[in-house]
Amino acid sequence: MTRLVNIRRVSFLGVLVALALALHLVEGQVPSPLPWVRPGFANLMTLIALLTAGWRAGLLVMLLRVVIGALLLGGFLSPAFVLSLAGGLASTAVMALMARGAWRLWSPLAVSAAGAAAHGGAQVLALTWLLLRSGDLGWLLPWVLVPSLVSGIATGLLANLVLLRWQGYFRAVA
Amino acid sequence: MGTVVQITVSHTSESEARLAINEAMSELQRSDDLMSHYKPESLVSKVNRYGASGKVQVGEGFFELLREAVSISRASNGAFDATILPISDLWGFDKGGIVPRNELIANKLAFVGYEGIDLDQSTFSVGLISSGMSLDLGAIAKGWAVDRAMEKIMSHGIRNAIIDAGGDLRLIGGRPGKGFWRIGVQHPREPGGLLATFDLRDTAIVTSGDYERFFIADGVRYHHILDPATGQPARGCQSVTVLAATAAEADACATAAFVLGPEKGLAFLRSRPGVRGFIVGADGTLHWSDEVIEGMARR
Amino acid sequence: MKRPFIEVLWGPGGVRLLLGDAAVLGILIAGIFALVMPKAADGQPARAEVESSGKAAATLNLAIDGVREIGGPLGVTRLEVRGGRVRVLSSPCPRQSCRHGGWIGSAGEMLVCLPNEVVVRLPGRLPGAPDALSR
Repeated sequence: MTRLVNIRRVSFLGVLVALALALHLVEGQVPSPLPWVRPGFANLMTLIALLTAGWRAGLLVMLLRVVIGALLLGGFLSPAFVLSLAGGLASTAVMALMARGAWRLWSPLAVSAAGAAAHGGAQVLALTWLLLRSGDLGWLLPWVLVPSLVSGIATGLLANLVLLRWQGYFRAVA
Repeated sequence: MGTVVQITVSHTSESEARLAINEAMSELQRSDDLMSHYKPESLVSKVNRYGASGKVQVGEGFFELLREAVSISRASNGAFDATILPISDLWGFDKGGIVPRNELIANKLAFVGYEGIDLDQSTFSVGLISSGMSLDLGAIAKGWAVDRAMEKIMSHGIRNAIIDAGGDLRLIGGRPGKGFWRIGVQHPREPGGLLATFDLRDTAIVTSGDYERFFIADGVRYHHILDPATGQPARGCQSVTVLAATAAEADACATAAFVLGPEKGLAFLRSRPGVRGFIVGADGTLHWSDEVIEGMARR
Repeated sequence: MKRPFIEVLWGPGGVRLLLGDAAVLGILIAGIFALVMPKAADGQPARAEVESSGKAAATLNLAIDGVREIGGPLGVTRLEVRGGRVRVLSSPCPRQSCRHGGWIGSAGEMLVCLPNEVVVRLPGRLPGAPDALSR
């Protein structure tokens, strides 16, 4: 018996990954005072995948984006990659948990904001670990968390809009 | 001095306060350079080296200190004695400490006795009667240094300050708006615990305890407050706290009362005008020199 | 779409926000503030000031556990922060009296390694605590 693969879902996720990558690469070009802090719009795709197709889909999209993005940009297994991965895993985990309450207790805005905060926090933790715990980087937290939160809110609002507007499409495809 | 010094000043001008504090710190350093028997160039070391072969000129300030030390020795019947160095060297508290053999202590006891300090007021010079004698001013020097430092602070017109040299305190005035400083007294058996607190102004307060410098050998605790009569650590008290007008007097009297034990120690404190305090006996009971200080304590 | 638990319809062009959003955002923002401003809670100091050879060397955030190394004339003194308290984990001094101080966690307390010239101070004063300690 062949396993049935949901072609629609695969294509849908593929599109999401491609869009996420595009955003990721474009964001990477924008100069910023804190090099590893990005507006994080690429996370929008992870969020959509998560909220429409489940946490496994979200995880997949995030992993593919991070890995392929690093391969394309030439940073595979570099410190920046580790930070990205740490942030991505943490934010996906948090968003997956928050997704339980999505549309009932709160909107994707909260999911995205919480995920963004987790993303930033995990990156600071990873950075501290990378520097072999020779210092206390706690002071970095506000500098990372505030931009993360802001971008998380922006992404979340966009997600709200997109998910509501095209809910029909998502239901068909995911 | 090997202690942590903290100076607190409350004053209208921050720059003046900082200046005063720096001068006080230098004065503390200067006092230590003069009085530490560890430093070969100090006045005390000079007296220890040459005092037996002829009088050593020490200057008025140091002379006054020695005079006070001898006076308190007399008043306490030798419980406080600055000539105890030969014995304290045997114990070596600053080097980890060992229990000296009794014969060694007996030998050195012959050289302990404040009566052997020969003071010549006219030339401000000091001599030692026999060549085995040597001075250790440790039990009064810190207080003395604190008093000198406080004079420097006051010379800047500052009226509210605390000088804390390793737990020996001298204070003037009080917290702004309060009129007094809240002073805690270390509990001799609970690290981090308080025995009592007092609201004080314009006084010195010094505590001598068996918990400050000690070592343990074969399950017995040997602490650094030695009885000049026996050469052994005094066992009558856990701690003694004395309030006096100067830190030097409080310092020396606390040591003397500790050696004397609760009964004689209290009598000694009561005999000195302007001095009050309390003793924690070896069994942990509190003995107050008078109801005034007992009433002042908040527990 | 599932029926929302508490609904607050808001937003131009179909952005739908719920009460939970405000709650979550509020918590996140408050959390960030709490991290940014280490304030004494329950009279516990939030920072430890570290001096090396008399000069300010570091400030430790007591809310974040970790180990910090401070250099001095004898070598490296390692300080550990855990549960809002700090202690000397290791130090190159001969008598190790700094380690006997154990953990400190209240305003005004201090740890000192004299030989390596390291001082760890918890600033401030508890409302009822003494201005100085006679010991």
